[in-house]
Amino acid sequence: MLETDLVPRHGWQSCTLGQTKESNINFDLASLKSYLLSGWRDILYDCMVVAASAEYCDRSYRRPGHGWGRIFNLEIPVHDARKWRSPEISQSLQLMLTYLTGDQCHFQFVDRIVQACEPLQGNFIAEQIPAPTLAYSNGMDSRMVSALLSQQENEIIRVRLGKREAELDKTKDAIPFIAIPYSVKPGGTNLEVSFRTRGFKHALISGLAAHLVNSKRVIMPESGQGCFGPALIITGHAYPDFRNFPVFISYMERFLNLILEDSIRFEYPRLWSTKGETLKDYLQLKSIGWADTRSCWQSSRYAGADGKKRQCGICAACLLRRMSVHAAGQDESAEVYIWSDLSASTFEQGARSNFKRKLRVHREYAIAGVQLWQQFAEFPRAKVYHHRSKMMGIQLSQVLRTSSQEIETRLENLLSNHEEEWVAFVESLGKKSFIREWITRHDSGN
Amino acid sequence: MPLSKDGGIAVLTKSEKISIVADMEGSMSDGPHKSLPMKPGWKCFSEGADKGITETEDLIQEMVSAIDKDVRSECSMDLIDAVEDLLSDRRGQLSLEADDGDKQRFEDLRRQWCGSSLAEIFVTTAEFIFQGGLSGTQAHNQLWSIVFLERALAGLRQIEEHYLRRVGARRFDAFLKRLREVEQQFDPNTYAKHYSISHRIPRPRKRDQLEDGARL
Repeated sequence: MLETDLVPRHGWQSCTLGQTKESNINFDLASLKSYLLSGWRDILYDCMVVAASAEYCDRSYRRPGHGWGRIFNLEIPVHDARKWRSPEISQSLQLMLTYLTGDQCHFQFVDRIVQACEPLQGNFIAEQIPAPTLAYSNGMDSRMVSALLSQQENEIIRVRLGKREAELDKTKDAIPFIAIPYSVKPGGTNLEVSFRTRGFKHALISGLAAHLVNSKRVIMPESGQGCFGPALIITGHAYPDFRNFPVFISYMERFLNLILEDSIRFEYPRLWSTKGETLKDYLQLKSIGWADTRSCWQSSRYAGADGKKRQCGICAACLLRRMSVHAAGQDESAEVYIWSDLSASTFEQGARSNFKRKLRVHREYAIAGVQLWQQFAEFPRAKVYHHRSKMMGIQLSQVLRTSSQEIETRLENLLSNHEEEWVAFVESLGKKSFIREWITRHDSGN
Repeated sequence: MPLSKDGGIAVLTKSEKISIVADMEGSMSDGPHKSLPMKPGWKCFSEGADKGITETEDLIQEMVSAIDKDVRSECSMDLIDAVEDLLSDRRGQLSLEADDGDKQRFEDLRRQWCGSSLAEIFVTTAEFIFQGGLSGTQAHNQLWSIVFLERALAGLRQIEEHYLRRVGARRFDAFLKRLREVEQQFDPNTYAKHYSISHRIPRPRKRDQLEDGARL
């Protein structure tokens, strides 16, 4: 990681850090300013540099086809290398990242040559509000959970995960946490798409915000299926996705508290609820709608039709959304999705008729998504369930400070409710649905 | 109270400060990608199941051989030795409640060695067994039994996904039936009992000699 135009050491790949578009890690001073409620602090900047460096490595190098983990040696300039080198901090960082990504990151911290460029101070209005922070993404979970929590909390500080938008610059008051203050441009062309370090980035940004407003509380809005499904249903030699799993978050919490010398806690108000149950509770509030939220992570390139960015409708995230909307007794316009008709008898027929890019990759994502939610529904009958449930009880009892017996019972309830919602959703698609046919085939093997 | 362009988001919270936070672009959480390419051992297994000419017990043997190869490629010898050592009677410190030192030992293993899903489940299972108070042979058997079962189910899931993507209905249905037979008849304890990283699990012997005859 080079803070200036230095030449990298022989055999090392350089990653440049700066405020220009050419830099691999580019800090946006206006967004960064929104993180400086109580003045510039080197450590906050350094935390972001470390997260950005991990992201750069993660996205720049493809994982091996028949393996998973990679080994990275990173040399990172920070303002206080001695602090970062302390065994407790460096080991907690390494444990958190290894557990999240399945990669081995070895950090060497060196002192910066020059002080990082400080943005001018802003006049921020959220200084020292003892309110919990919540990562906000315009997804359903963050919309619903912020509304539900606003019934109990005086304030909720929403931390925006995304780029700064021009609209925000026009506002009279300076707004805290308007965007992630840096962007990462990966090196090379053969990029890795799994991007597991995203979990680090999002948890870090919410944690820094909680530290800055001195609230000590971070709300994780994810519902149970999103926390447990990708962590429990493992396919082949792929590494489990722990981004929203409480064990990863507990490692993140420990790292943050060591580096910031704070006592921040992450909370999971909807961990044991399905997304459908959260939507039902949200509807009771008679708050604003949910329909304009977005669940699909596909880019416009893959999910655009008729000149509009839509949601694909068949990836795991879209399927979870559609199942949850069904479970809450709601309807959604078919206009929202590219795959607007899941009752169609073939996958191809389910897409909008004028959508010409029926790529093989869409079908593959659809199969992976259907399998994930089907197997999550079947999990209590899997041969691994008994010991997995016990393991989960022990692991999470320490993290959530609840008895292992209670964890097992709650997990069982969550899985049972998910199964009920999934089965009802699939049945609602009609007997000829291509999704139902995939599942029937899956069941016929039993 | 300032309102956002669509006039909506402000009512979500009592805080004015966050009322105009706009929508995000591009950083949504993603779902599972299509599964990774099958490893050679699993490819042999799936081809055997697809041909329909291999006996279920041979298929199981083929699958166990694939798992054995996975263990060798995904778990380092140092990790296996360290875990076996922790679970052995040699330490003589086992108790039902793991103390902070024990917790730290497992975290160190996770930090240093977990670069694969197999290594991760290996350490997590070992910690679970350790906390349950098992040691020695019992611990060894349970550990490998769970690790074998976990990888078997993950491998079968991957194969099912690959075939669902690629083959027609009739062929897929027949194939899936064979996978289910393997899943149901697979007893990981049989293999865990004698499992040692120093002895490879062989692939099933080809039955192509005259004296092999027809199997009952």
